[in-house]
Amino acid sequence: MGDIMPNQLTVREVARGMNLEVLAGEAGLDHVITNPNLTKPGLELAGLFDFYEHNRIQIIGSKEGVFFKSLSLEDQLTRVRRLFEEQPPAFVFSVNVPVPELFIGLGNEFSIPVMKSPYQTTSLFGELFNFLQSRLAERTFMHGALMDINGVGVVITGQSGIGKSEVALELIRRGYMLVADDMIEIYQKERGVLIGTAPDLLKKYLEVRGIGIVNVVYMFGVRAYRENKKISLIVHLETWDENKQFDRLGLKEETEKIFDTEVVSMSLPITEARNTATLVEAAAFDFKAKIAGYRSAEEFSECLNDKIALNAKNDQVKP
Amino acid sequence: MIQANYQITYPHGLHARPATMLVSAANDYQSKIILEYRDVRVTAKSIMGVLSLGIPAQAMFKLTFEGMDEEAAFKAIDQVIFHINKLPAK
Repeated sequence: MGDIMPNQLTVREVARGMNLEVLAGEAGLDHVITNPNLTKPGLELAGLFDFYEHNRIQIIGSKEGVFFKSLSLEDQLTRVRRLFEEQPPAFVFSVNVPVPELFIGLGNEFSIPVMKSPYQTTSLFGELFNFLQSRLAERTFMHGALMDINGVGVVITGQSGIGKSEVALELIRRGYMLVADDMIEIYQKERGVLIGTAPDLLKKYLEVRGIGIVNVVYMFGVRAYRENKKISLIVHLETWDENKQFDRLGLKEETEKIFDTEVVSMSLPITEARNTATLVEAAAFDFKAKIAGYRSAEEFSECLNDKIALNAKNDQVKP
Repeated sequence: MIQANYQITYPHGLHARPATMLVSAANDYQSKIILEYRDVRVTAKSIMGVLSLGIPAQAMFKLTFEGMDEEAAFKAIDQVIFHINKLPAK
């Protein structure tokens, strides 16, 4: 895994990503957002500023909008000015709330963007929070390929030259989707959910030794690529080592920790005689079966127990 | 050729874990290693073959070693079975 890079997100990127219409305060679009949380300044509009969370994006929903209108002109002026004075990163109005002229004027005066969302308050909260959290989450990099194999996000790793990209190419040919090749950018959406994507420059590209850089969308069509995928399984490709013990029956399950999330991992020894893409595909299918509650190795183990018990009984009858 | 009779005293018999130990040790040698139980002969180098016998605890089975390094293989497997019988029962 690579270094964790700090994340910077500007109001401009939020506006673009969330389709927000900028109504005022354009000079503040390059301000940096560091806090993924949101707040509705209802108490503050009522005059109580003790709990003002000024480092968060301020959401004005229909409730706040109606309440604002009910205030006296003087209260409107002093309280809203105070909201701006503390320099929050931005104000976002939900779709049905008319934006008062006062906010437009103050937004321009303080260079704080005032924006309008195409969503109603509840969806705006959810969508915007998810967006901010995914963009502000810590990121780490992993060397390998990430594929969506029938819904299972599989990371294929292994030392350089072992053939990760070739395996990815073969899996794409079989109809699965490439998410990232060579470098996987990973962030934790929430505990237990790791999302992998390709760094911007590398999206859609695959590098195969001897052929060069290949655009998979151009070569195989849009169905061959997907933007991001939850990571469920890590497969390490390893050269066959006589002295190394590989799990023979699959009764043991190993995991690897990325951020706070444990991901199931396995080592696949490869040789020229073993079709690596087929093995990776089988690993993904077996994982899917396990998720669905079917464990071949355990079932086999049960049958073996029965057979041993039967033999033991027969041995007693006829020693 | 070396022949030896063995007994697994590990209470679960030759189950997945002990069988894996036996098979991986067998694969360290060139010699042909044959495991025989109830008239069925399998190569000790195949995990599925060994498991298919379903050898229970206390049962007698025969191991046959044949090849250049049969002496070394016999000694190693003998050690492995000794270890298996010392495994803590789950």
